[in-house]
Amino acid sequence: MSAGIGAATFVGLHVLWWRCSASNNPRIGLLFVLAIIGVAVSFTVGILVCEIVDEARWALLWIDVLLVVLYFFLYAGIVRSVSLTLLTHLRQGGHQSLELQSIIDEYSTSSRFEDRIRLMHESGFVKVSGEFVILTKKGRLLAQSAKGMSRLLGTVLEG
Amino acid sequence: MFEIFSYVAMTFCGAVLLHRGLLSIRSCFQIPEQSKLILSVPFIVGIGFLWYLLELRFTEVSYAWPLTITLGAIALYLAGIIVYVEFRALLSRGYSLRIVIDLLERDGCLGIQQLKGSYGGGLSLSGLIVKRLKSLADLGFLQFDGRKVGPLTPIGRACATIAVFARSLLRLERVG
Repeated sequence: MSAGIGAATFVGLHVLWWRCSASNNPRIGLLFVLAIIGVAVSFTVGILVCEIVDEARWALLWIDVLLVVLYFFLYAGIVRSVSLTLLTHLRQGGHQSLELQSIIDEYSTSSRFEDRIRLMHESGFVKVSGEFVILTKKGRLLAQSAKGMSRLLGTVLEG
Repeated sequence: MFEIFSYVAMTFCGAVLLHRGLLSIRSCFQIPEQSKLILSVPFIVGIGFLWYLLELRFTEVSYAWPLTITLGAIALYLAGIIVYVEFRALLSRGYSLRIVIDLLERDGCLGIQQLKGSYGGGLSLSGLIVKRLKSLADLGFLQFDGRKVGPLTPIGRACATIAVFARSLLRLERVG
């Protein structure tokens, strides 16, 4: 019950904050702070109301961690998933099929690619100079680490 | 409690190593992609193994709230598995990550239009969209014959409706 109250607090705060100040930046750092508040609420309810003792407090923390992890990945999908964007685009077409080329044109001419570049520029992974995108030291480190991790975990960097 | 945590860590590492081993076997014997379900077996077996370890532990030491502790340990294990699976998915399908890698493979500097055209190691943005549509069709979210896309299946429509609702609730205008 306390994990549920903590999770509800976290989601409630998230929705409230995002509705009050809209932004296209994913704001993962802020979301993390809200998650900590949710976990704190869950702990407070667990200890004061449910009177959870010793080891069970750890168990409560672990359940909270699972809920937060699940929510973070759900949120990442909602914010950045290309597949979800394609689904929502097709939903607008009702029960009719669309030409593949029209979908490609819509996506290619939108500013989504440039948005990604802008976000990476803000995070310091690339530098935008006029029409050119330049990889920074931080970006190079990220790309090299990703390549190494991909080899280690046996994935293909398809994009 | 440290002991229970070490059980979780041990089970997680075992499941990941087993998963990685299965991936290597798959690529060695060129087993087709459809065997993805088999790859989830180590993670499911891990839950059973962890439960068994904890049951053994509870017969030696008595804890208050044993079921809560078992559920907590399994929750932590599942959190680790989700992070692992999502991290792999990010490496494999990360849009922004692929842009950075494309830049690295082209000496670290490229024009935006060239970057769009050569996205995904030459796949381009249209290739990205076709790949995503094929995946969605394989998952049963929509119909796709290579030229015409749609309509959405009921499950695809449900997902799209939830996404539209969540995105408008959070006031996200520029997405995906």
